[in-house]
Amino acid sequence: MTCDDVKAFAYVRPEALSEADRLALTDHLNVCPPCRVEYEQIRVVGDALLAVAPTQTPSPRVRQMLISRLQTQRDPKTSPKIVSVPPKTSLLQRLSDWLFGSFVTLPRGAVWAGAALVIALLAGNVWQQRLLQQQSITLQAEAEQQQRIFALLSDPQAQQVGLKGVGDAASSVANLRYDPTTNIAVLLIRDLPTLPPDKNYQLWLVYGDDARDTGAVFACDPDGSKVRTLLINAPRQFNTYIRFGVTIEPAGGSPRPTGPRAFSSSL
Amino acid sequence: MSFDLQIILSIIQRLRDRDEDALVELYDLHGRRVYSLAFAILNDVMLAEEVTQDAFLRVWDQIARYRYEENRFLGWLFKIARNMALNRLAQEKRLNHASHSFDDDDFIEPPDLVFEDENRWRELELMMQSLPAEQREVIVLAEYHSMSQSEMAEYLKLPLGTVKTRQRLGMEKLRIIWQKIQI
Repeated sequence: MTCDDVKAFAYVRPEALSEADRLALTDHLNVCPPCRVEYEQIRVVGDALLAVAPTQTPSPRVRQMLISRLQTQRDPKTSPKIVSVPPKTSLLQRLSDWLFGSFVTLPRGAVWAGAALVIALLAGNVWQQRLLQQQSITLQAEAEQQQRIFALLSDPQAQQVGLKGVGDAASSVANLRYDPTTNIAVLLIRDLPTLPPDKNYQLWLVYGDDARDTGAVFACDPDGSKVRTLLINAPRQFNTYIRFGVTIEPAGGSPRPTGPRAFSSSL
Repeated sequence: MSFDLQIILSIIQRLRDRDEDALVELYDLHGRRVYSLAFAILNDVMLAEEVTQDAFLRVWDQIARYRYEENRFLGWLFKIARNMALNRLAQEKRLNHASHSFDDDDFIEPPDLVFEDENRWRELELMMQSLPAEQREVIVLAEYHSMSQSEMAEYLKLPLGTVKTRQRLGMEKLRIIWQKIQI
């Protein structure tokens, strides 16, 4: 392998190289310090890119489900107990022995069909249980979200800032209510204009010159309500932010504002 | 030592002490980035949500075995998330992708991978967004999907030389801006 080959290989993630190329690369890097430095400089950038994927905001239920799963791990009594027995023979062999040993008077085809039915029913039951569990966690997360919204709206210490609509949103009313010492806020907007399907509103939380976080990416209320209520889970405490704004961005949001302004405010 | 790194050091210690709140705190700090990475690979909300949870739980389970320097901890978290997302993508058979097996350890660990400064990430993010779309596309496929250059050429229906040139031009720009921020 030559020094030129190393540079070309550095642009490829190591696991995407063939085993032979990886070994040749390792051998070369071990004896060529300049190549090693260059290789590492490129791979450091590759790794850093993992942290800067286009911003998406996870639903609050992800956090709630993470906590629930953590609790389930800690206290296995809350989840079904699975006892693992190491198999002495293959599963198919043991199933066959059990079936044909117990129902010798039935034709083998009928027994296998029955077994398939039982397995299908069991699998369906497990799937249904998992679905119910997921639904329960989602409902719990939604209930908790509603509680947090209610708590913030009724908190006399909370601060509120009005956002002024511009353009099509000129007749809309928006308020952001937050506790400055936390990273939680509630955004309430009345009469939000409907956007085409390829567009979303994006809330920006500005904390410096050209420094901002995404607060939320949203559209009109899916249920058609005139008032849109959003719980904002910001990356920083709200006393860090100096102003807020909402722009119209491509669906899914943008890393920085690119579209027309819909609402703006300053603290 | 930066403030961000101090927080991470504290979280690592608390994770080692089995403090569940530390994992939630880690999620509050970096859950959005992990989810964004998973979504960039999977392009599916439900799958990205599952992978995000799985990645944080893997950190919880494996923290005792974490053997690198503390300033590489977030790099480890992101690699776990990426590998889990790629494995999930392979399971879903959404992409006719080579059957790499992605574990938590990469082949060569860069020694200077220090993830403690949001400003550097932000600059890199802006530079990535400002790259020409065709260069960004190959970098996304290479870095997020771990595709080889020949796999990208096949996937994009482009000559191999074109893929190599686009990748080199894009990565060189990113490398320059990354080193500039370091200084």
